[in-house]
Amino acid sequence: MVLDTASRVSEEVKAEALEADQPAPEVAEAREPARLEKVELVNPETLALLRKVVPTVWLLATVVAGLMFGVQIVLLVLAAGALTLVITLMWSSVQSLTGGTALGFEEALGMGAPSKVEEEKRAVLRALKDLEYERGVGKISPEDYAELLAKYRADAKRLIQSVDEALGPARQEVEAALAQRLARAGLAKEAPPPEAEAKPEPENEPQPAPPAEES
Amino acid sequence: MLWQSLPEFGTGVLYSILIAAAYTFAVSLAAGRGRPRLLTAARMGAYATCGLVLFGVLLLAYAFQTHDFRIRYVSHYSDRSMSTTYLLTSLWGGQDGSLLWWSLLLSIYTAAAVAWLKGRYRELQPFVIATLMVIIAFFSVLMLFSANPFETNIAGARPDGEGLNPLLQNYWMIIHPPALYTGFVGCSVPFAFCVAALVTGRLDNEWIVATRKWMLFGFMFLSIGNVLGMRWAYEELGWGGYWAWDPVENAACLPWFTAAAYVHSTMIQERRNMLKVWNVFLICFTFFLTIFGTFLTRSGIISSVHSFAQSDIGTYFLYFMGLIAGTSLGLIVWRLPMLRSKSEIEAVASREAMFVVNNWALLGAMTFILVSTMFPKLSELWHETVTVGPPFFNRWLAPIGITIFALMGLAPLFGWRKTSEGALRQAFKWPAIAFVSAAALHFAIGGSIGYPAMVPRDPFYPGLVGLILQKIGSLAPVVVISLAAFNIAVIAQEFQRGVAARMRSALKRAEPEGALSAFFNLVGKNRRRYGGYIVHLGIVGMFVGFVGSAWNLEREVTLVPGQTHQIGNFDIKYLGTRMCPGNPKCSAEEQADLNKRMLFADFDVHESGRGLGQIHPAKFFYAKNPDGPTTEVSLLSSLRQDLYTVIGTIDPQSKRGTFRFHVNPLVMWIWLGGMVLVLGACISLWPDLAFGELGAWAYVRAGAGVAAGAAFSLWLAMSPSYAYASMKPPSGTPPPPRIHSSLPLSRSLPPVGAALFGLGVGAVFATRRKRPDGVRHGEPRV
Repeated sequence: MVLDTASRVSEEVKAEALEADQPAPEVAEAREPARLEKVELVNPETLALLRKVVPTVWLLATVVAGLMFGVQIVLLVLAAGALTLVITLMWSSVQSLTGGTALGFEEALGMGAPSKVEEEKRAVLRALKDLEYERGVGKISPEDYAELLAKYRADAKRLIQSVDEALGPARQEVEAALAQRLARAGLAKEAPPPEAEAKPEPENEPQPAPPAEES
Repeated sequence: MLWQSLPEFGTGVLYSILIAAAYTFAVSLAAGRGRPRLLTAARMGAYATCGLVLFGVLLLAYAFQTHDFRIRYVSHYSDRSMSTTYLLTSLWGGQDGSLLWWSLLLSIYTAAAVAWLKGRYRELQPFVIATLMVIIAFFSVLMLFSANPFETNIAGARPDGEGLNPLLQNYWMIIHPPALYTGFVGCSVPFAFCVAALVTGRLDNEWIVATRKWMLFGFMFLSIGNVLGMRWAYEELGWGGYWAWDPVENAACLPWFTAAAYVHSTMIQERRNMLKVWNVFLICFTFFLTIFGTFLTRSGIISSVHSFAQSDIGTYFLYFMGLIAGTSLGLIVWRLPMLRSKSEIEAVASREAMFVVNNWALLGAMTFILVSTMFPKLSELWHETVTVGPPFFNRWLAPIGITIFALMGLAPLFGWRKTSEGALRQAFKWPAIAFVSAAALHFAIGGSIGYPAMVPRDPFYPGLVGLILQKIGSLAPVVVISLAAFNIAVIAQEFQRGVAARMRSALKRAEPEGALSAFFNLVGKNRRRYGGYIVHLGIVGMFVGFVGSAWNLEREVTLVPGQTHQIGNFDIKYLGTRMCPGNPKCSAEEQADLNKRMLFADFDVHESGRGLGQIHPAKFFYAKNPDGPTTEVSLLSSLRQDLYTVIGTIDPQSKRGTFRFHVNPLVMWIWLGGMVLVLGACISLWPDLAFGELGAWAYVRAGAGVAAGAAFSLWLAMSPSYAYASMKPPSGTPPPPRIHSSLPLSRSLPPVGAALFGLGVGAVFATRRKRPDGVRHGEPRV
């Protein structure tokens, strides 16, 4: 999922670079720190601190205003805080819109939308758990249970295979990029053999879920 | 400076909301068209739009607190004598402010949905945000061009305002509208998901799992809002009942039926990949009904005691409803090939078949109420206005309600796909015994305790239909009580089977569990299922409360001081009247209230010879509205029955008064049932927490949250239900004996209940541990 995201983000970066007639992403990556320095008014640590301090000060000011001046001033303090928040958020939005902010790690992770096959896999796993529950409370005959169990397990197996196959190329790409980075940083002990890199994880056999539990 | 420009500034904020929503809509669409990095801009834009709405609400609240009577809305719905609390509640007391309040709730939902969506449903996100922005934009257009809460009075600032309607100056009215609005607005998020799924074509089952939680949240608040509304009507309107089938009341309950149908039918899609079109239709229709209900309340198309002032706002709603209907139907038709199911219902004896029948019954009830509510308007089409009153609704909805109640108990007894004859026989055994036993017991002793099994009814119509309705109405008490026993037996059996299965399974794993531990683990790890059963238990309580109306007693009597009247097993002695402030017997609080004059009638009450204390129904004459006194009900509530008293008229010289006394059996069960329903919904909605992931705060958060929820529910249900006067002994007189029905529990139950519940939840989480293989309980191994 994350790998899928990484490849999509990479494609998008390439497309944007082409549109703007800019150098290739590799070159852009090398220039990234300089660009960030220009755009960001405050460093990330200060920004993180401000994110905690400003709401706290706002809330404290509200409490103090409430104790000293009554409801009317409390409402004004709250309104001032809300307006500050709106301005900050709008500023962030426009910055993101114009490409003025870097893609954060969390943001990149968030772009990993589960594929349709992954979602189907989750549904089958839920159905398996439900089946176990039905058996546990005696709502399904042993014959029906065996028939449905075989069907769901076969479905789960097929879907897991599909997910692994779909992720294979992206996984190889990322693992290669990671190995390259580690080697450049002098952290790689030994380059892994190419077969091991490409080898998918061993396939697990679907097992019956524990009874009477659901996620 | 701010004070001088506040109205203009407020209007400017409304424009800003519209612009911000439009900007976010555009950016969201761009993000949805393959530019994922724009999604961050859309998310920030959505938050900013929500912040602007909050800013607008705070400005209006400030205007109320500073008595800015230049603003028309402030001068219409407040005055200088109102307390800070009622000045805040005036925000939603009228049309214009309630639209801004609606927007705020929608913004809170939007912000919560955007925050929750971070890292989830990436393909759907842009369209979810875009849809929510369209709804926010609609409300800002509405406010800007038809109901601006910041609009100024043409004649300039007034010296004082008109004040909030006295009927709205009630404890329940403070919390009822926000709760109902929260339910209504809550249906927007599932609708936004639905539109996003239809637009993107991601119509698999995952999105519907997420949508179900949001719909359940909306359903819970619709339930709370409707129950609080019933409570308000019961205590404030003074006609002796809680539901009068008023058009606005009906409009509030319509989406409840479709939301209830959806939370059941979505399970069929999850399990069997069926009913996709039906589910999509239900989501869209539920949202449509929330807007339709708002249209009914605010357009003035149908007269109601709850309606806002008539305005041209209805036209905007008509356009918006057209947009919703057109977009929804267009998208459904476009995606019909993807929505078609490959599976079919294989057997009638299956849970999915039961759910489908249940869905049709719920939709049938909704359609009946909808058509009947609109009937006076529809009948104008053939130039003859036909009004439809409460008896019509009560007669026709009895069979529909009984069918839904029966299906609620039947469905859990069936398994998915098909159920063997042996399994069915085993599942039905104890519930059937409970049903028959309850019916027999009711026939045997019901009459002797004042609740006969059958209550004679007059024929409502001539002919066969009238006869059938008459028979059903007569049999309703025993049928409902027996079905309540049936439902309770089904729920108890489900819990018992689950606990037994869990104990067997734990024994196999060589980790034996006690019955109590197994019970908590079972509920904790299957919250959706068992929370649902608890919701069913709450509905059982409510049905028991509804059927109590079959045994209602009502008297209108004229008494002079010293006279006693008997009704049911109550002896009510009329002691006299007192006007507060002024009378030395008034309490200090009553003496200090210069906002109104209060005429109390004092009664001594005995039940079967045992003294219960005093009750004090009243008439309040507000300074702002001296010619329209409000009726203040005095209640004595118990689990068995309520004594409900209202003043008709009183001769100031002779003190001779006309009073109405009602004995309303089992009404308390409605409030208790509502409380249990909320508890069940909370359990179903409770998110997964894992100690390892969230740290110790997970326990604290879980315990505190559940305790607060339980305490809130208990407080709502058990707080003094008798009105203002009944709890206050006249000053200078010894306090009356404690009223048995005042439920001393009302003081102790919230903390005790919360503590017990918190302990229960603590037990669930404390017993939650990792398995040796590192997989958490509840996660399948594949």
